[in-house]
Amino acid sequence: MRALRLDFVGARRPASLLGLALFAAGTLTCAVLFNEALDAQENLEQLSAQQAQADRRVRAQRAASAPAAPANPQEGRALREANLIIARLNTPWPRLLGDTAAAAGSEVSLTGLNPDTQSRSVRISGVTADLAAVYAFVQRLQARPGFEQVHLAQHEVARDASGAPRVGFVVVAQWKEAL
Amino acid sequence: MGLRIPFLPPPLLVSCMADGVALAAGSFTARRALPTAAPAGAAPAWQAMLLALRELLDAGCGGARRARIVLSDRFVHYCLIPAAAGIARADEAAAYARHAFRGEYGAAVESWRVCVDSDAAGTGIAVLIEGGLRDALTAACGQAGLRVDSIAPHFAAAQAALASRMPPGDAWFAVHEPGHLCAALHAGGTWQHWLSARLAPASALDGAALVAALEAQSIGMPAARAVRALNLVAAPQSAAALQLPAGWRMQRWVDPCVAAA
Repeated sequence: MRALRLDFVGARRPASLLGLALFAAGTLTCAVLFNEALDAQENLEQLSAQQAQADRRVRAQRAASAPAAPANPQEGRALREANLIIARLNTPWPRLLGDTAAAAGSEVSLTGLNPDTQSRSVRISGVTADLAAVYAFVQRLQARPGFEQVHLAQHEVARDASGAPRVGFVVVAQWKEAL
Repeated sequence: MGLRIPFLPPPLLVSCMADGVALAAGSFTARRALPTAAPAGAAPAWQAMLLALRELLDAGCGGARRARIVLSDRFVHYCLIPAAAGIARADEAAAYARHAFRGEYGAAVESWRVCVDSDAAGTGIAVLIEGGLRDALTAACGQAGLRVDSIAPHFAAAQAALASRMPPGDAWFAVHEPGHLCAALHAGGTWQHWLSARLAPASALDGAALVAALEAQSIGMPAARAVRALNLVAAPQSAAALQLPAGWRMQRWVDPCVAAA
Protein backbone atom coordinates (compact mmCIF):
# COMPACT_ATOMS: atom_id res chain seq x y z
CA MET A 1 0.00 0.00 0.00
CA ARG A 2 1.42 3.35 -1.02
CA ALA A 3 1.62 6.01 1.67
CA LEU A 4 -0.67 8.98 1.20
CA ARG A 5 0.95 12.40 0.91
CA LEU A 6 -1.66 14.81 2.11
CA ASP A 7 0.03 17.68 3.92
CA PHE A 8 -0.97 21.33 3.99
CA VAL A 9 2.60 22.44 4.70
CA GLY A 10 4.62 19.99 2.64
CA ALA A 11 2.90 20.95 -0.60
CA ARG A 12 5.04 23.89 -1.65
CA ARG A 13 4.80 25.99 -4.76
CA PRO A 14 7.13 24.95 -7.54
CA ALA A 15 10.04 27.28 -8.15
CA SER A 16 9.52 29.98 -10.77
CA LEU A 17 11.61 30.16 -13.93
CA LEU A 18 13.25 33.35 -12.66
CA GLY A 19 14.15 31.64 -9.40
CA LEU A 20 15.58 28.64 -11.20
CA ALA A 21 17.56 30.90 -13.53
CA LEU A 22 18.97 32.90 -10.60
CA PHE A 23 19.83 29.69 -8.79
CA ALA A 24 21.59 28.32 -11.87
CA ALA A 25 23.50 31.58 -12.36
CA GLY A 26 24.55 31.63 -8.73
CA THR A 27 25.66 28.02 -8.85
CA LEU A 28 27.64 28.66 -12.03
CA THR A 29 29.28 31.73 -10.54
CA CYS A 30 30.24 29.80 -7.43
CA ALA A 31 31.70 27.04 -9.56
CA VAL A 32 33.78 29.48 -11.62
CA LEU A 33 35.03 31.32 -8.55
CA PHE A 34 35.85 28.06 -6.82
CA ASN A 35 37.82 26.93 -9.84
CA GLU A 36 39.73 30.21 -9.94
CA ALA A 37 40.43 29.96 -6.25
CA LEU A 38 41.84 26.49 -6.78
CA ASP A 39 44.09 27.76 -9.60
CA ALA A 40 45.28 30.68 -7.47
CA GLN A 41 46.01 28.34 -4.60
CA GLU A 42 48.00 26.06 -6.90
CA ASN A 43 50.01 29.01 -8.26
CA LEU A 44 50.67 30.25 -4.76
CA GLU A 45 51.95 26.85 -3.71
CA GLN A 46 54.25 26.67 -6.75
CA LEU A 47 55.64 30.16 -6.07
CA SER A 48 56.16 29.32 -2.43
CA ALA A 49 58.03 26.17 -3.37
CA GLN A 50 60.21 28.10 -5.83
CA GLN A 51 60.95 30.78 -3.26
CA ALA A 52 61.85 28.19 -0.65
CA GLN A 53 64.18 26.49 -3.13
CA ALA A 54 65.83 29.83 -3.99
CA ASP A 55 66.27 30.64 -0.31
CA ARG A 56 67.93 27.29 0.28
CA ARG A 57 70.27 27.89 -2.69
CA VAL A 58 71.25 31.38 -1.44
CA ARG A 59 71.90 30.08 2.06
CA ALA A 60 74.03 27.29 0.67
CA GLN A 61 76.07 29.75 -1.44
CA ARG A 62 76.57 32.07 1.52
CA ALA A 63 77.63 29.18 3.68
CA ALA A 64 80.14 28.06 1.03
CA SER A 65 81.69 31.53 0.54
CA ALA A 66 81.74 32.70 4.15
CA PRO A 67 84.65 31.68 6.39
CA ALA A 68 83.86 29.16 8.96
CA ALA A 69 82.66 30.89 12.05
CA PRO A 70 84.88 30.30 15.05
CA ALA A 71 83.46 28.11 17.68
CA ASN A 72 84.45 30.56 20.46
CA PRO A 73 86.35 33.90 20.90
CA GLN A 74 89.64 32.28 21.93
CA GLU A 75 89.61 30.08 18.90
CA GLY A 76 88.85 33.12 16.71
CA ARG A 77 91.80 35.04 18.14
CA ALA A 78 94.13 32.11 17.60
CA LEU A 79 92.86 31.79 14.07
CA ARG A 80 93.58 35.45 13.34
CA GLU A 81 97.10 35.10 14.75
CA ALA A 82 97.67 32.01 12.67
CA ASN A 83 96.58 33.93 9.58
CA LEU A 84 99.04 36.70 10.42
CA ILE A 85 101.83 34.21 10.82
CA ILE A 86 100.93 32.64 7.52
CA ALA A 87 100.93 36.08 5.90
CA ARG A 88 104.33 36.90 7.36
CA LEU A 89 105.65 33.59 6.21
CA ASN A 90 104.41 34.49 2.74
CA THR A 91 106.48 37.72 2.79
CA PRO A 92 109.34 37.53 0.26
CA TRP A 93 111.94 38.01 2.94
CA PRO A 94 115.05 37.00 0.97
CA ARG A 95 114.52 39.42 -1.91
CA LEU A 96 113.24 42.12 0.46
CA LEU A 97 116.28 41.92 2.72
CA GLY A 98 118.70 41.56 -0.17
CA ASP A 99 117.46 44.59 -2.08
CA THR A 100 117.26 46.74 1.07
CA ALA A 101 120.73 45.79 2.17
CA ALA A 102 122.11 46.41 -1.31
CA ALA A 103 120.52 49.88 -1.40
CA ALA A 104 121.75 50.75 2.07
CA GLY A 105 125.37 50.20 1.29
CA SER A 106 127.91 51.33 3.89
CA GLU A 107 126.39 54.79 4.57
CA VAL A 108 123.12 53.60 6.07
CA SER A 109 122.69 51.55 9.16
CA LEU A 110 119.34 49.70 9.01
CA THR A 111 117.57 49.46 12.32
CA GLY A 112 114.22 48.01 11.35
CA LEU A 113 112.25 46.44 8.56
CA ASN A 114 108.47 45.96 9.04
CA PRO A 115 106.60 44.54 6.08
CA ASP A 116 102.78 44.64 5.68
CA THR A 117 101.71 41.83 3.43
CA GLN A 118 98.18 43.12 2.90
CA SER A 119 99.37 46.42 1.40
CA ARG A 120 102.66 45.01 0.15
CA SER A 121 104.42 47.87 1.86
CA VAL A 122 107.57 47.82 3.94
CA ARG A 123 108.55 50.35 6.55
CA ILE A 124 112.35 50.64 6.63
CA SER A 125 113.98 52.49 9.50
CA GLY A 126 117.65 53.38 9.79
CA VAL A 127 120.31 55.81 10.84
CA THR A 128 122.76 57.84 8.71
CA ALA A 129 125.35 60.50 9.23
CA ASP A 130 123.58 63.13 7.18
CA LEU A 131 120.40 63.77 5.28
CA ALA A 132 122.09 63.47 1.90
CA ALA A 133 122.83 59.84 2.61
CA VAL A 134 119.14 59.30 3.33
CA TYR A 135 118.22 60.81 -0.04
CA ALA A 136 120.80 58.64 -1.76
CA PHE A 137 119.34 55.59 -0.04
CA VAL A 138 115.87 56.47 -1.24
CA GLN A 139 117.13 56.89 -4.80
CA ARG A 140 118.95 53.60 -4.73
CA LEU A 141 115.95 51.82 -3.32
CA GLN A 142 113.75 53.36 -6.00
CA ALA A 143 116.11 52.04 -8.59
CA ARG A 144 115.77 48.46 -7.42
CA PRO A 145 113.47 46.44 -9.72
CA GLY A 146 111.56 44.96 -6.81
CA PHE A 147 110.44 48.30 -5.26
CA GLU A 148 108.16 51.14 -6.29
CA GLN A 149 106.64 54.24 -4.71
CA VAL A 150 109.61 54.73 -2.40
CA HIS A 151 109.41 57.83 -0.24
CA LEU A 152 110.89 59.25 2.92
CA ALA A 153 108.15 59.06 5.53
CA GLN A 154 109.95 60.83 8.31
CA HIS A 155 113.43 61.80 9.48
CA GLU A 156 114.97 63.28 12.57
CA VAL A 157 118.36 65.00 12.86
CA ALA A 158 120.15 64.58 16.16
CA ARG A 159 123.66 64.34 17.55
CA ASP A 160 125.26 61.43 19.27
CA ALA A 161 127.20 61.44 22.51
CA SER A 162 130.35 62.64 20.71
CA GLY A 163 128.47 65.56 19.15
CA ALA A 164 128.49 64.15 15.62
CA PRO A 165 125.27 64.62 13.55
CA ARG A 166 122.99 61.64 13.39
CA VAL A 167 119.86 61.33 11.16
CA GLY A 168 117.16 58.77 11.96
CA PHE A 169 114.69 58.11 9.19
CA VAL A 170 111.82 55.99 8.04
CA VAL A 171 111.36 55.12 4.39
CA VAL A 172 108.20 53.48 3.15
CA ALA A 173 108.21 51.47 -0.09
CA GLN A 174 106.02 48.95 -1.85
CA TRP A 175 107.34 45.76 -3.30
CA LYS A 176 106.09 44.48 -6.61
CA GLU A 177 103.95 41.35 -7.03
CA ALA A 178 106.59 39.51 -8.94
CA LEU A 179 109.09 40.12 -6.23
CA MET B 1 7.68 9.83 9.21
CA GLY B 2 10.68 11.96 8.62
CA LEU B 3 14.40 12.42 8.92
CA ARG B 4 15.57 12.55 12.52
CA ILE B 5 18.72 14.62 13.00
CA PRO B 6 20.77 13.62 16.06
CA PHE B 7 21.30 16.16 18.87
CA LEU B 8 18.24 18.17 17.80
CA PRO B 9 15.11 18.15 19.97
CA PRO B 10 12.39 15.89 18.56
CA PRO B 11 9.48 17.61 16.84
CA LEU B 12 6.38 18.22 18.88
CA LEU B 13 3.49 15.99 17.84
CA VAL B 14 0.36 18.12 18.09
CA SER B 15 -2.80 16.03 17.96
CA CYS B 16 -5.78 18.27 17.38
CA MET B 17 -8.70 15.92 17.88
CA ALA B 18 -12.38 16.66 18.27
CA ASP B 19 -12.43 15.64 21.94
CA GLY B 20 -9.11 17.13 23.02
CA VAL B 21 -5.69 18.42 22.15
CA ALA B 22 -2.53 16.53 23.03
CA LEU B 23 1.16 17.41 22.81
CA ALA B 24 4.01 14.89 22.80
CA ALA B 25 7.77 15.34 22.37
CA GLY B 26 10.02 12.64 23.75
CA SER B 27 9.03 12.13 27.36
CA PHE B 28 7.02 15.35 27.42
CA THR B 29 3.25 14.98 27.12
CA ALA B 30 0.34 17.30 27.78
CA ARG B 31 -3.36 17.00 27.09
CA ARG B 32 -6.46 19.09 27.41
CA ALA B 33 -9.99 17.77 26.90
CA LEU B 34 -12.59 19.69 24.95
CA PRO B 35 -16.25 20.17 25.81
CA THR B 36 -18.53 17.85 23.90
CA ALA B 37 -21.17 20.54 23.32
CA ALA B 38 -21.30 22.09 19.86
CA PRO B 39 -20.00 25.69 19.65
CA ALA B 40 -22.65 28.35 19.95
CA GLY B 41 -23.74 30.57 17.08
CA ALA B 42 -21.77 30.67 13.84
CA ALA B 43 -18.38 29.89 15.43
CA PRO B 44 -16.50 27.21 13.52
CA ALA B 45 -16.34 23.72 15.05
CA TRP B 46 -12.59 23.97 15.53
CA GLN B 47 -12.69 27.20 17.59
CA ALA B 48 -12.68 25.38 20.97
CA MET B 49 -9.87 23.10 19.78
CA LEU B 50 -7.77 26.08 18.79
CA LEU B 51 -8.35 27.79 22.14
CA ALA B 52 -7.22 24.65 23.98
CA LEU B 53 -4.17 24.38 21.74
CA ARG B 54 -3.10 27.95 22.52
CA GLU B 55 -3.44 27.33 26.25
CA LEU B 56 -1.40 24.15 26.05
CA LEU B 57 1.35 25.77 24.01
CA ASP B 58 1.49 28.72 26.40
CA ALA B 59 2.10 26.27 29.25
CA GLY B 60 5.13 24.78 27.49
CA CYS B 61 6.08 22.60 24.58
CA GLY B 62 8.87 20.42 25.98
CA GLY B 63 11.73 22.37 24.43
CA ALA B 64 10.66 21.48 20.90
CA ARG B 65 11.39 23.86 18.03
CA ARG B 66 9.34 22.18 15.31
CA ALA B 67 5.81 20.85 15.24
CA ARG B 68 3.92 18.20 13.30
CA ILE B 69 0.20 18.77 13.50
CA VAL B 70 -2.32 15.96 13.08
CA LEU B 71 -5.77 17.34 12.50
CA SER B 72 -8.93 15.45 13.41
CA ASP B 73 -10.91 14.11 10.49
CA ARG B 74 -13.84 16.02 12.02
CA PHE B 75 -12.25 19.26 10.87
CA VAL B 76 -11.47 18.21 7.31
CA HIS B 77 -13.42 17.08 4.25
CA TYR B 78 -12.29 14.22 2.04
CA CYS B 79 -13.20 13.78 -1.58
CA LEU B 80 -12.41 10.73 -3.68
CA ILE B 81 -11.65 11.69 -7.27
CA PRO B 82 -12.24 8.65 -9.50
CA ALA B 83 -9.97 7.84 -12.38
CA ALA B 84 -13.02 8.00 -14.64
CA ALA B 85 -13.17 11.77 -14.07
CA GLY B 86 -10.10 12.07 -16.30
CA ILE B 87 -8.48 14.71 -14.13
CA ALA B 88 -4.73 15.09 -14.56
CA ARG B 89 -3.77 18.47 -13.13
CA ALA B 90 -3.75 19.51 -9.49
CA ASP B 91 -5.82 22.64 -10.08
CA GLU B 92 -8.47 20.58 -11.87
CA ALA B 93 -8.56 18.17 -8.94
CA ALA B 94 -8.94 21.08 -6.51
CA ALA B 95 -11.81 22.51 -8.58
CA TYR B 96 -13.45 19.07 -8.68
CA ALA B 97 -13.17 18.73 -4.90
CA ARG B 98 -14.56 22.21 -4.24
CA HIS B 99 -17.46 21.54 -6.55
CA ALA B 100 -18.28 18.38 -4.61
CA PHE B 101 -18.81 20.44 -1.44
CA ARG B 102 -20.19 23.63 -2.93
CA GLY B 103 -23.79 22.45 -2.78
CA GLU B 104 -23.54 21.83 0.99
CA TYR B 105 -21.22 24.65 2.11
CA GLY B 106 -21.81 27.30 -0.56
CA ALA B 107 -19.28 29.89 -1.64
CA ALA B 108 -17.21 29.36 1.52
CA VAL B 109 -15.46 26.44 -0.18
CA GLU B 110 -13.63 28.91 -2.42
CA SER B 111 -11.46 29.92 0.57
CA TRP B 112 -10.76 26.35 1.64
CA ARG B 113 -7.29 24.93 1.28
CA VAL B 114 -7.12 21.86 -0.92
CA CYS B 115 -4.45 19.18 -0.97
CA VAL B 116 -4.54 16.33 -3.50
CA ASP B 117 -2.74 12.98 -3.65
CA SER B 118 -3.02 11.10 -6.95
CA ASP B 119 -1.85 7.61 -7.77
CA ALA B 120 -0.63 6.15 -11.05
CA ALA B 121 -4.09 4.91 -11.96
CA GLY B 122 -5.43 8.45 -11.97
CA THR B 123 -7.45 8.12 -8.77
CA GLY B 124 -7.01 11.02 -6.42
CA ILE B 125 -7.84 11.81 -2.83
CA ALA B 126 -8.47 15.44 -2.06
CA VAL B 127 -8.64 16.84 1.44
CA LEU B 128 -10.02 20.28 2.21
CA ILE B 129 -9.82 22.45 5.32
CA GLU B 130 -10.99 25.94 6.01
CA GLY B 131 -8.30 28.45 5.18
CA GLY B 132 -8.74 30.14 8.54
CA LEU B 133 -8.01 26.89 10.38
CA ARG B 134 -4.67 26.34 8.69
CA ASP B 135 -3.60 29.95 9.29
CA ALA B 136 -4.74 29.84 12.92
CA LEU B 137 -2.78 26.63 13.59
CA THR B 138 0.37 28.09 12.05
CA ALA B 139 -0.01 31.32 14.00
CA ALA B 140 -0.58 29.53 17.31
CA CYS B 141 2.55 27.44 16.85
CA GLY B 142 4.54 30.46 15.67
CA GLN B 143 3.64 32.38 18.84
CA ALA B 144 5.03 29.45 20.85
CA GLY B 145 8.30 29.54 18.90
CA LEU B 146 7.46 26.44 16.87
CA ARG B 147 8.02 26.04 13.15
CA VAL B 148 5.28 23.95 11.60
CA ASP B 149 6.70 21.11 9.53
CA SER B 150 3.46 19.40 8.71
CA ILE B 151 -0.33 19.74 8.95
CA ALA B 152 -1.87 16.43 7.98
CA PRO B 153 -5.38 15.05 8.51
CA HIS B 154 -5.69 12.13 10.89
CA PHE B 155 -6.61 9.47 8.33
CA ALA B 156 -3.77 10.42 5.96
CA ALA B 157 -1.18 10.73 8.73
CA ALA B 158 -2.06 7.34 10.19
CA GLN B 159 -2.11 5.66 6.78
CA ALA B 160 1.27 7.17 5.85
CA ALA B 161 2.78 5.98 9.13
CA LEU B 162 1.46 2.43 8.76
CA ALA B 163 1.48 1.89 4.99
CA SER B 164 4.79 0.03 4.94
CA ARG B 165 3.49 -2.45 7.54
CA MET B 166 0.12 -3.14 5.95
CA PRO B 167 -0.40 -6.75 4.84
CA PRO B 168 -0.76 -7.15 1.07
CA GLY B 169 -4.17 -7.59 -0.46
CA ASP B 170 -7.40 -5.69 -0.72
CA ALA B 171 -8.74 -4.32 2.55
CA TRP B 172 -10.61 -1.51 4.20
CA PHE B 173 -8.48 0.96 6.10
CA ALA B 174 -10.32 2.75 8.87
CA VAL B 175 -9.35 5.36 11.44
CA HIS B 176 -11.61 5.79 14.43
CA GLU B 177 -11.48 8.68 16.83
CA PRO B 178 -14.10 9.58 19.41
CA GLY B 179 -17.13 10.80 17.51
CA HIS B 180 -15.82 10.09 14.05
CA LEU B 181 -14.98 7.24 11.71
CA CYS B 182 -13.12 7.58 8.44
CA ALA B 183 -12.68 4.52 6.21
CA ALA B 184 -11.63 3.79 2.65
CA LEU B 185 -11.46 0.67 0.53
CA HIS B 186 -8.07 0.00 -0.98
CA ALA B 187 -8.50 -2.62 -3.71
CA GLY B 188 -6.66 -3.35 -6.92
CA GLY B 189 -3.88 -1.03 -5.89
CA THR B 190 -6.07 2.06 -5.67
CA TRP B 191 -8.61 3.75 -3.42
CA GLN B 192 -12.13 2.91 -4.47
CA HIS B 193 -14.68 3.92 -1.82
CA TRP B 194 -14.69 6.46 0.93
CA LEU B 195 -16.70 6.66 4.13
CA SER B 196 -16.67 9.54 6.57
CA ALA B 197 -19.22 9.22 9.36
CA ARG B 198 -19.92 11.24 12.48
CA LEU B 199 -20.67 9.09 15.52
CA ALA B 200 -22.00 9.78 18.96
CA PRO B 201 -19.07 11.31 20.94
CA ALA B 202 -18.93 8.77 23.73
CA SER B 203 -20.10 5.72 21.83
CA ALA B 204 -17.87 2.69 21.48
CA LEU B 205 -17.46 1.07 18.10
CA ASP B 206 -20.13 -1.43 17.23
CA GLY B 207 -18.90 -4.20 14.91
CA ALA B 208 -22.21 -4.87 13.20
CA ALA B 209 -22.90 -1.18 12.57
CA LEU B 210 -19.38 -0.65 11.28
CA VAL B 211 -19.60 -3.50 8.79
CA ALA B 212 -23.03 -2.36 7.69
CA ALA B 213 -21.67 1.08 6.97
CA LEU B 214 -18.75 -0.32 5.01
CA GLU B 215 -20.92 -2.65 2.97
CA ALA B 216 -23.32 0.15 2.25
CA GLN B 217 -20.50 1.96 0.45
CA SER B 218 -20.13 -0.90 -2.03
CA ILE B 219 -23.71 -1.72 -2.86
CA GLY B 220 -23.99 -2.85 -6.45
CA MET B 221 -20.27 -3.57 -6.73
CA PRO B 222 -19.72 -7.29 -6.09
CA ALA B 223 -15.95 -7.11 -6.27
CA ALA B 224 -15.83 -4.47 -3.54
CA ARG B 225 -18.37 -6.30 -1.41
CA ALA B 226 -16.16 -9.37 -1.54
CA VAL B 227 -13.46 -7.55 0.44
CA ARG B 228 -13.95 -8.52 4.06
CA ALA B 229 -10.65 -7.46 5.60
CA LEU B 230 -10.32 -4.43 7.83
CA ASN B 231 -7.26 -2.61 9.16
CA LEU B 232 -8.55 -0.54 12.05
CA VAL B 233 -6.64 2.29 13.70
CA ALA B 234 -8.28 3.20 16.99
CA ALA B 235 -7.65 3.92 20.62
CA PRO B 236 -7.40 0.60 22.52
CA GLN B 237 -10.24 1.43 24.86
CA SER B 238 -12.70 2.22 22.09
CA ALA B 239 -12.10 -0.96 20.08
CA ALA B 240 -11.27 -3.42 22.83
CA ALA B 241 -14.62 -5.17 22.70
CA LEU B 242 -15.17 -4.79 18.97
CA GLN B 243 -16.45 -7.94 17.33
CA LEU B 244 -17.03 -8.10 13.58
CA PRO B 245 -19.66 -10.34 11.98
CA ALA B 246 -18.67 -13.76 10.75
CA GLY B 247 -16.61 -13.78 7.59
CA TRP B 248 -14.79 -10.58 8.43
CA ARG B 249 -11.23 -10.45 9.68
CA MET B 250 -9.76 -7.45 11.37
CA GLN B 251 -6.27 -6.27 12.33
CA ARG B 252 -6.03 -3.57 14.98
CA TRP B 253 -3.30 -0.93 14.88
CA VAL B 254 -2.20 1.44 17.59
CA ASP B 255 -2.89 4.97 16.51
CA PRO B 256 0.54 6.48 15.70
CA CYS B 257 -0.82 10.02 15.72
CA VAL B 258 -2.21 10.33 19.23
CA ALA B 259 0.74 9.66 21.51
CA ALA B 260 -0.77 11.23 24.60
CA ALA B 261 -4.35 10.10 24.18
